[in-house]
Amino acid sequence: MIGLSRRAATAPRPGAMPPTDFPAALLRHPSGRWGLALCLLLLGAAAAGPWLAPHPPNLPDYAATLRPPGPGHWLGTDAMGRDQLSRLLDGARRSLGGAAAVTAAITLVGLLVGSLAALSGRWIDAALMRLVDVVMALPGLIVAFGVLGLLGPGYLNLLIALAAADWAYKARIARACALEAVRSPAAMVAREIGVPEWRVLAQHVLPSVLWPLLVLATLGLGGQIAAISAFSFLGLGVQVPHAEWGAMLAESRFHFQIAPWLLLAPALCIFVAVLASNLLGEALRDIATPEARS
Amino acid sequence: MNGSRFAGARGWPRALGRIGLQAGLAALGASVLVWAMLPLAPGDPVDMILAARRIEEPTAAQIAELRARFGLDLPLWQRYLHWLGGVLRGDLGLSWRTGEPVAEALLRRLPATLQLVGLSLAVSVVWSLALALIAVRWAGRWPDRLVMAYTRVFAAIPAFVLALLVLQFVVVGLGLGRVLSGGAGITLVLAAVVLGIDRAAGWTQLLRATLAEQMARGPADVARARGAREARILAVIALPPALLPWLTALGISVGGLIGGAPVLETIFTWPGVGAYLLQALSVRDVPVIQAFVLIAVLAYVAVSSSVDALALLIDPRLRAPREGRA
Amino acid sequence: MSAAALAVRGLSVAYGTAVVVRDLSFDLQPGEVLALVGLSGCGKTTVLRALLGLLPPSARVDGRLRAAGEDLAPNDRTALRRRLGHAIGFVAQNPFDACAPHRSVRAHIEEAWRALGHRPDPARIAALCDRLGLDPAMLDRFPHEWSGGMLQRANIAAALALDPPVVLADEPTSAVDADNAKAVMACLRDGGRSVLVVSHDLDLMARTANRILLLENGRIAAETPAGQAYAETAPGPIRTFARAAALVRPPEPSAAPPLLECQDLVLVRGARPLFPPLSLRLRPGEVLGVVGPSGSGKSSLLAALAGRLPPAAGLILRDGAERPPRRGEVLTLFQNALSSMNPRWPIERVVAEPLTVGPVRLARAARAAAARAMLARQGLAEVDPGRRPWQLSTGQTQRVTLARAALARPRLLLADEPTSALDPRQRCLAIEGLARIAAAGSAVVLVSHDRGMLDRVCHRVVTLDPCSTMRP
Repeated sequence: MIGLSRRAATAPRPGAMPPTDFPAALLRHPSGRWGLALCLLLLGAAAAGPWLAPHPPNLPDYAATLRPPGPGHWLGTDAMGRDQLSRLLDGARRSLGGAAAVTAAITLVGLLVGSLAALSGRWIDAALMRLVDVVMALPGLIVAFGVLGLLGPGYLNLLIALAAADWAYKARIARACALEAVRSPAAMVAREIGVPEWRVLAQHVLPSVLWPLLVLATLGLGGQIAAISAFSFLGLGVQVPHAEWGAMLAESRFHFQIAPWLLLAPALCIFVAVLASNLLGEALRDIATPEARS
Repeated sequence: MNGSRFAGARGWPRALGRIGLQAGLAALGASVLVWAMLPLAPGDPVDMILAARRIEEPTAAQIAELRARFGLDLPLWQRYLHWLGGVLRGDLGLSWRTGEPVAEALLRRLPATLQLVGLSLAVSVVWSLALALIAVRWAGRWPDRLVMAYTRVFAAIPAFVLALLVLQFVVVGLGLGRVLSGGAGITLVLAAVVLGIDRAAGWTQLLRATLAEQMARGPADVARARGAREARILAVIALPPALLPWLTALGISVGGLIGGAPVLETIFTWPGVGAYLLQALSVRDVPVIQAFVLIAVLAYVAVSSSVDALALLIDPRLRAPREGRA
Repeated sequence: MSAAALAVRGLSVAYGTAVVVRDLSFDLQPGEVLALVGLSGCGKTTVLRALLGLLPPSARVDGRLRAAGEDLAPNDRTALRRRLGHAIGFVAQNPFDACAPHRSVRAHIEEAWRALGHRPDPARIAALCDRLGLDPAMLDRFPHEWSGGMLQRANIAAALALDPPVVLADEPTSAVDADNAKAVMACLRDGGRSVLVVSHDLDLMARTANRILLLENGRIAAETPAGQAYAETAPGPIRTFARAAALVRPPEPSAAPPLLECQDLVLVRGARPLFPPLSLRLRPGEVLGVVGPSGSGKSSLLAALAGRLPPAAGLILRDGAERPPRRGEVLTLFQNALSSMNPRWPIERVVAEPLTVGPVRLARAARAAAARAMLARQGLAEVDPGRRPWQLSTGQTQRVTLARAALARPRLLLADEPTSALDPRQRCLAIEGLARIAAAGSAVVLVSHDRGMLDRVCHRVVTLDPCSTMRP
């Protein structure tokens, strides 16, 4: 709140930028390779879910409840006889898609508010930043609780609450990057040479803001996945009968002793998804730091 | 380097005053946002509370009494002051679900939650400090790699998933379920360890990174050239400056601990505010949620300010008046 | 060998296949000040760090070392440091970087004892303060409250605390100004100690050392008694080194009317005037030096001349009229050249940026060709023009910005300490670039804390301090 910058070590430096050989550098980075592979795998599974799923995800079959994994139901069935693999695939769309949507929304809002604050005059800047200060004085999860309390439980409401909880930090980073780029010697020289201001913004300032925000977005993806599943676990997010990994854990909580696969599979999905986005974010942050490369 | 710039004794009160002022402003700003939940919430509070009290045909006097209590006839900004005055007197409003005062119900459950949050904070502080020191002391060797692998894995497991796994495989699998239902102390310790260890992963990564950076910098090199042992350099030269970002992250994470506590309380059936809050959330009992948010924010501001004060103790430059290097 | 205070035999350092120091042997005699001189990247700092056991584990160190009457192998770093802690004192380059910021300077000095598990000796600290001119009352304050020159003396006190027979110093004067540099050297050799000092300042070493070793590519290229470094009889490589660092003065400016004139200019920080009213004139092709201690308003003066800072009083006339600078009229050259380039662009595009403005729109290929020609004129023909700025050395980045300035052809070039991070050779090349720009008709304002350099390079020098004087 005061003094040192928030989340110091996870934040990309304002000078962060893609290396010249961007895709190759990502593949060279060990975390990048694994993170990218896992992310593509998960996104592919989520996208192709409806075609891959062997059963309708929400169709109960009371003749086949709590079946262990085996032919017909590769990952077993839950207490209502619903096929777990189909529900995991269906749930991936909500867990991952929701996290992606929240991340995209807060990155965009952060970019707009941060750049507006940095580029406009003192008063707008001061007003926006005081608002950001106040929102950041509230811990993210608590803001989410508050907004969810106002809107009531529900998947869309959860996404709105999570976005409300996290935009301010993005805005602050965007503003810091934009300010540094606007005042940087590189931009000053361009102005002295006579480069028009719109081109200074497009060529020197905007890229300095976009890349750190992208790194930050990737690093934050895992937290959003975890938050969506946690709130859904509490029954505040995705509502029955729809599948979501955290909600699936909640539904099968009391059958763990006789059906541990109902615990393990969604838990593993959450773990792999968060791990994948953490690895990818770490790799992007590393290769975006010029000092670490040269 | 002239004597008048010396900030030693003069810097403290001023720097502490600045922290107190900033904390007060942050709390005040946050209180406006928290208060705004009430006017933003759909529904008339008076109707809600009368319904909760099962008064189907209220008298005009009952309505007037409630309207006066909430200051509903005042202009908006005066309603805020009215609310703030109530909060300062310990009145957190009436629950829309039960019609009972929120403060009593919440305060009854709060100590259990504070126990959980405090204990898990202690666990994660000790745990991340120990792991980071071990990792940097043997940087690049197997203890370091082990710690890094641990942090990678645990940073990717949300606390509630870890809690479920622990409950399933340690307690149920090893037949310790009876122990858990028998003693509240063991439940508390288990929940706090799970929450603390889960939180510690990120802090360990942060502290390890900053410690490693400090160990590669000039002051550490000079101490090495004087013949100091690595362990001494780590403790005396590298640790204090590395603690600053770690402490800041810690202060911020307290918000996460408070927010994470309700989930763990549900899983471990710990009698804190968790169940009460979740019930409120599912029926949109706004005053209860508002009170929880307010208490969490105040706790968070208090912890952040203590962290800032602690940072003053560690880094003399923060105590100096802000006018650049002498 | 037995008489030497420190004897090095066959020292080699390699990172993987890259050999940084090759088979180096030398003796440091008792009471001698031996200077290791060379350009950036010649391996001189690596030698020092190898002797102190400070190289990272990835470095392969070979050779033998004899100090304090013991034969030691420098490849066992931990053992080396434990043995040498009391036998060798170490003075680092930047005093602020050497002191832990959270500890008082007294704690920093006492670390010499505590590092070895001894109890600090207050009498010895008091004696050192007395000898080195340190104020004992300052010791309990923190490094950021000290000035660089005094803090470097405190560092020397820490190095001398255990009275080691040998002191190793890594560029001990590069972070302090010229007056303090001499004092620092005097403190170092105080008491007839053997001193091995690493520096790129041949001038200072010729005056303060006994003997000079010139290092090139990790080898000893030449050796000379310090007094004869500039003599005709000095070995060839040393003469080349001295000549390579010699600074050229641009041709005398034309008699054209001044393009910039300041009349009783006053700049303020807060409400305090930075310097007494300043008047100056600049003709095309003229190089004006500005010197002054830090905080004397040098950067503010440049900002005012660039039109970014309005003067508190007085006039800035351009072509005899009070008007803001036109686009492309003024260009600033920064101390940190890297920060003044778009890190995403290849240097070719960085240099060509001035060609993207103006009435005539050049094709991309034509711009690139012009940029390459300009890079070649700055001696960067061998550097791939597709590289990014951060892939270059510090000296190369400054010459890239000079190539850009040459293409921009500003009427007024404002150079803010452009050479302070460069070694003598790179500094000389950068000054040559500046001189070419001046010869092409630009007026140059060159700000530096190095009075000696300004005297040699500039037509006139202005000193900024509370009792400002103009020198012809």
